[in-house]
Parts: sequence; C-alpha cells; structure tokens
Amino acid sequence: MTAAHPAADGPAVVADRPVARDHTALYRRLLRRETHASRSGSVVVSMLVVLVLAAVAVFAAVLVFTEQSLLGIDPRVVVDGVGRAPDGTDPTIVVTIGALVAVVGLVFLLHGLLPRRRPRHALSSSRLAVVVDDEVLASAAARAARSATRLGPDAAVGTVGRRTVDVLLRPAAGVDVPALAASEAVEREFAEIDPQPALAARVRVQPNGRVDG
Amino acid sequence: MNATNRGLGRTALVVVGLALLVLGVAAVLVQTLPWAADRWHTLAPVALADLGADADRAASVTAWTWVLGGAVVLGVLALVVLSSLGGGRVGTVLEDDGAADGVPGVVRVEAAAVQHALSSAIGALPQVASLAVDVYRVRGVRAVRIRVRPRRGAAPREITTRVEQIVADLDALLGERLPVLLEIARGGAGSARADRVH
Repeated sequence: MTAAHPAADGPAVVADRPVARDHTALYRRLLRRETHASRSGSVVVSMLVVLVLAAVAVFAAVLVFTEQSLLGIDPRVVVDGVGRAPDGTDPTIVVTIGALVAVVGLVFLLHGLLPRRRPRHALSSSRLAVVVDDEVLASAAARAARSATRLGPDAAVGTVGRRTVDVLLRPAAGVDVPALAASEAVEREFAEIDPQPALAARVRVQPNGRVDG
Repeated sequence: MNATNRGLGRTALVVVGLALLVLGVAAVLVQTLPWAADRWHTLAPVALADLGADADRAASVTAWTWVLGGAVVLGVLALVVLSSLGGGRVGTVLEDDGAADGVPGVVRVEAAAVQHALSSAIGALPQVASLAVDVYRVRGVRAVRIRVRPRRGAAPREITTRVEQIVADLDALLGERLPVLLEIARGGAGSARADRVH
C-alpha cells in the first residue's frame, strides 16, 4: 500500500485547486463504447468491397473512353448482356453469385443494425469509469467461493453471464462442501464489487466427486 | 476508447449491406421468376441504353462519364469511412497558460509523465500482473485509459479502490481531475499465477 502512493506526501500543495469537472456524460459514453463491440472489422471489409467495385467501374469507363477491350470483353457488351438477362445467362452461376452477394449484404446489414455486447460489466465508482471483463469477475467469484471451503485452486469454476454468475464447485470424492457458506461468500463478494447490470450469484456443487482431487 | 466514429461506420455498413442485399436478391429473382424478368425487360432498356454497345458515341461517353464520376465519389466516401477508424491517441495530457494576470508561458504535461506516474504506482499493487496507460482524445477532452491485467482471482473492487486512491493523488498533483477509464482485462502475462496475498 505504501509503495502505491508516490504522491501521497504532497497532495496539500495544490489541493485547493483540483478543478471539479463533471465527467458524467463523458463517462456514460465511454462505458457504452467499452461494453459494446466495435464493428470496425466488418466496416473495413465492406469499404474494401466498395473500393473494388468502384475501381472496376472506373476501369470499365476508361476502357469505353479509349475504345479498348480487355481480353476481348467490351464493358458495353457486358451491359447489354445484363439488360437481356435472364436470356443468355447461366441460371446456376447467376443464382449462386446472386445468393452469395445477398448473404454478404445481409451479414453487413445485421452487423450494422444489431447491438453487440462485449462480455464486460461496468463497475460503480465515484471517480473513475470502470469496466471489467467477465472472465475477471468469474475468476473472482471462483476465488470467493473457494475461500469459504477447503478446496484446491482448481476445484471451483466460475461462469459469468449478463445477469448471473454461476460457480461450480468440484470437490474430490468424499469431501464435504459447505455450499451455503460458499454461496454467501460469493454474494458478499459481488455486493462489494457492485457490477452493472447486477449479477445474481448461484453456487452449485458437482454431485459426482472428482477422483484426481 | 479510440476516436473511431461508430455511427458513421454503422451507417456505412447498413447502406452497403442493403445495396448488396437488394442487388443479390434482384439478380436471383430476375433469373428465376418470369414476372421479375418481364419487369427487368421493361426497365433495363431505358436505364442501360446509353451504356450499351448500340448507343451513339456522344451518348455513350456522357453515360460512362456519370459511371466514372459516381465510382470516384463512392471510392472517396469509402476512403473517408476507412480513415475515420482508430486513432485519437495524444501525447499531451494537460496544457495550461495559468491565470490571465500571471507569468507568461505555458505549462504542458506530456502523456509520458502521467504514464510513468500511474504505471509505477499501479504496477506496485500485488493484484496487478501487468498494465498499460494511454492518453486519448475523446470528444475534445483528454482522457486517460488504464488497462490492468490482474492476477487470477483478484478482487475487482479492491483494484478499483486502490486505483481510485492513486488517481486522487494524481488529481492533487495535476490540479485537475482528468477523466480516467479503468479497464480490468482478462489474461495477460503473470495472470495465471494466483495472488498469494488475500
């Protein structure tokens, strides 16, 4: 604790000046961004698709302007062929490509519209904006449950959902586990952590004991 | 916590997705349903005539110029969206020229100073396996992000309380309450080893 306070000896120097600035709105925005997934991956892919299509269109226009054709393909003849569809087009190829394009479009659309959460929770704090990965909460839950029992470090497994935290105790065969005490310990731990949204704790004891423990 | 404009990205995704979806479904319908093919045959000659091989030279050039212009605009828009991703990290935490009637000059606190101060203070905590401190510009305000990777089983509330104390010291030192985001992340070096001090 002592090493953690390099500035503890001199807060009085400027203590009258700390600018009391309210960061509530900024924190709300930060927490929302940190608990929701970024779509930058699909944004990059979709923009690359657009860039490729735009490049193809530019290339075709240049071919038309210069009266050239590439590999015997004149863009104007291709347009005519598209205009005459479905006459003279292979149904299998068109349906396959059309379905593929539609599915890719649907994926982009859903990525853009649907909310996607990250497995994280916000923590209440008077000074900071705090986010915790669910894995850290699960590991804290497992440790809390284990601390009320006499089990080894690998005998408790925690799982955190959006509103629940599950701890599974896996005692060695024949070992009695105070499940109620473990449950209380987890509840106490999470009352202290105070995650948002709140997590309801549940502790279960695996009925068939391990033999390796 | 970067400067990515998520609204812009999602809008672009929705527009591109919708366009591709409509295009794909239309292609399949025209190919498989006779009535869709009929609709296409009344529509296509009007829309595509000038782009085809039968159009005269002047009309053809005009139509393909529109295609060229549209493609260039589309490409530029795509580049704009791509350039809006990421970024926002800044090198300065604080810049203050003091009171109006004070001494002339500017005080500037570099991000490295805050990084070192926070790293040495937080890194000394027994629950912390590794950490990173960065300064970002968020909505015109400079904000500090502290990413902590705790040891296995560490209590998040305890880490938060300790970091709150350290940040309070930083506030006193800087004379300003910077917005701080604490991110308690999973995994990382040393986190497999449990914290031995409970």
